Amino acid sequence: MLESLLDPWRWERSLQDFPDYLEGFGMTLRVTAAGWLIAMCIGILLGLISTKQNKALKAVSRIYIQFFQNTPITIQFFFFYVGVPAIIKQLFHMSKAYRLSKFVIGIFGVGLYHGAYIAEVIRSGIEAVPGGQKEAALSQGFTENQAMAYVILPQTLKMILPPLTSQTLALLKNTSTLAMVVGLDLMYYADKSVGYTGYFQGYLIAAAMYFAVCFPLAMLVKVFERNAARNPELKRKKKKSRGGGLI
Amino acid sequence: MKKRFLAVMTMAVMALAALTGCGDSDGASSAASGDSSAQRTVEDIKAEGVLKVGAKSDTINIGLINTATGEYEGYDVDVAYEMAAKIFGCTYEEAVANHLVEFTSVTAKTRGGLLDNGELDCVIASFTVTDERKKSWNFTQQYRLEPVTFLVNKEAGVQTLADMDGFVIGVGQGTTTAELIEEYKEAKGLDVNYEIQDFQYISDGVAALKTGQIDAYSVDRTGLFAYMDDTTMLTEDAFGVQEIGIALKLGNDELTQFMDNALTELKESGRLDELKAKWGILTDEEVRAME
Amino acid sequence: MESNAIIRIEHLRKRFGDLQVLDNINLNIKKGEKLVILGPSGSGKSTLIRCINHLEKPTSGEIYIEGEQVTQKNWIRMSRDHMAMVFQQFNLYPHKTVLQNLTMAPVKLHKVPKKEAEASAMEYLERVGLANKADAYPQNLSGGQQQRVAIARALVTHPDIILFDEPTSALDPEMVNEVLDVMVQLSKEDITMICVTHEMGFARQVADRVIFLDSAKIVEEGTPEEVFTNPKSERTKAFFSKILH
Repeated sequence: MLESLLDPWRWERSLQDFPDYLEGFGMTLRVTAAGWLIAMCIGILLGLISTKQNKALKAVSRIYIQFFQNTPITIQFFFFYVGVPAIIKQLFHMSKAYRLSKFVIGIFGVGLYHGAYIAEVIRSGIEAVPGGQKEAALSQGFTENQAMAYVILPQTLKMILPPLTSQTLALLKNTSTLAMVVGLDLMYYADKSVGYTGYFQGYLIAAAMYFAVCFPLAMLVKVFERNAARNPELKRKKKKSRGGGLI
Repeated sequence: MKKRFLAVMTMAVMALAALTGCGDSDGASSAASGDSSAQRTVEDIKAEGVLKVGAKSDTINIGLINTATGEYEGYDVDVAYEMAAKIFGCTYEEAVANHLVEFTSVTAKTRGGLLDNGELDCVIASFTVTDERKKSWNFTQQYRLEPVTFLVNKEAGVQTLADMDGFVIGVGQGTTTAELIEEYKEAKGLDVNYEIQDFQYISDGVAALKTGQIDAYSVDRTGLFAYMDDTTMLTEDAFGVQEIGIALKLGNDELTQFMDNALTELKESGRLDELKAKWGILTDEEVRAME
Repeated sequence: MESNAIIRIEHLRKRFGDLQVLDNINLNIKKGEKLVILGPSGSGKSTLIRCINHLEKPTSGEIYIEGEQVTQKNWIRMSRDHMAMVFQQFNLYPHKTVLQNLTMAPVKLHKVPKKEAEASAMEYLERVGLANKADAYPQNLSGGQQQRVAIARALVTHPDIILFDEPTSALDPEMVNEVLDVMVQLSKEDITMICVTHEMGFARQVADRVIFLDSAKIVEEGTPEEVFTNPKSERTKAFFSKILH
């Protein structure tokens, strides 16, 4: 077994498929970027709604979050692969089956799913800011929205950066679910290559490529965590000159 | 999903085992497999009392787990029982009755690794023999010839590859089908453009065909035949005849030679054609005639 | 009497579920008056002061500031134009420096140019003795210092009315006086001060009037002298006997 893992021929053969891997990697990165944008839009919207008083909107947001958090992402992908095209075909009375591009399936698959998680990150971030902060702002005459923008969210941001980055990392890895619906992403091409050759090397190559982008993100989480814990006074010292003049 | 997960896990565990130098801890086979490069002989298998075979579990008439009995069924499965019968010197019926074959479900991605680390004695699971694969595993002569064809929706109204311009064609992951289609197209001088998409399981591919997510699914004829229904049909194409052989660990020449001889005997005695008839598989002559 | 009332409270009631916290409160507060609200905990005094700027919504009744009723629609504007509040827990903005805490409302809400706002903020910091902390962050200040900054922040928008909600209750004893000193200084100006506190000495020194709240009602009202030395109700007597040795 060890010799088959070190076998130069198997590495050589697996690396012959590298152009495929690169193409898949491009797809993975594009889906990650666009999916992240969708997830952030949904997350911010639902996260803010969850902290508001409107009961109906709140209920919609709770249902959405619970639904997407408590069903497997694979089923959600299959829904976009098979279900949504069938619905579109019905709605518009098409004669031929409708097909969503893999990119579209991918960005909505990870976007809607991680949007639910990001909404929770944002909600808990907002709720972690003490109520007195909002009261102080309101008592000064700031509106609810101004209080959110100037007082609550800036404090929230620092707290939520680490979990938000973790979500980005998870989103990136979850794009590999796309392979289950012939997603033309990195995992799909790795599966294809390993399926053809039977050489495990293909997965190691794919793992290295995923690692190359995930590891820096994981490091970023650490930096943000340290930053969130750090005293802002320390950060401030470096650019003291401006304030100093005023005293 | 679960199968995929298992497959990936198996590979991961195998890689770990290899890296840590951890061998097979099972005492029964330790005599032969203390060193992973050791080859299992016919005598080893006899001593252990069971032949370990990697088989398909998802392909009707070839290798399928009967959900009612939990037993493997199909042509490839019967070939495995015949091999066991030769090794243990008994009849096919006795081999079945005494469970002389221990089946493991394999996919294109797991079959190679399971041979490499000695988990399996051989793989009898629609494994097409190619020159490239011969570098990594031993193969016997073919026990089944398979032409490739297409399964399409009847309403698409296509008869051959020539009608498939702009089609999305699904193929089995790990199969040589994509290359065979390309060769077939070149040979016939067809001017068609198509896109290939790989599916891990034939059932996924057929489901995608029926929901219109792909336009055609292509794999060996026997595999497709079993999935044909009122809404789908096979095209007239029959090409890229593949030789399906028994795969063994690279360098295990003794067992390979033994099985190769056994296949020769089965062919000469007409037993193999008998089994083909039982499972609705085309004989070598029928395949050659189609081409 | 009513013409020079800056705050008019009529039939104010507040319920939290089954709990009646304020029951038919009627109160006029004159421009420049220093009013101290006393009462045992749970008597509704904090709720009363929070109702004035609508941080708590009254269940019924009306509150008028300079003759204009505070409503669900205008309460933010009324706060912005007339009032400021100092909280028990200071509630400084931790992500902003001391100076930024003071300039935020003037710049964002009152459209004061930044330079001007900063200069004005420095003046107020000077008054509370913390000009040297302008660039510090709140968490690097002591509780007393934070509350002094909070008072400066309240003053920087030039409110007509300043509301103190137990401003010294969260402080270590040795820091109470530095805050009270600032408040005493402030009481010499003509700003209207309403203060919920347990500091009797402070009340005696600065209050024009003291009201005593018990079980959701005003049970005592008068000058500090009257209320402290000659309380009418038994509840007030009992309370003072506990609090004033």
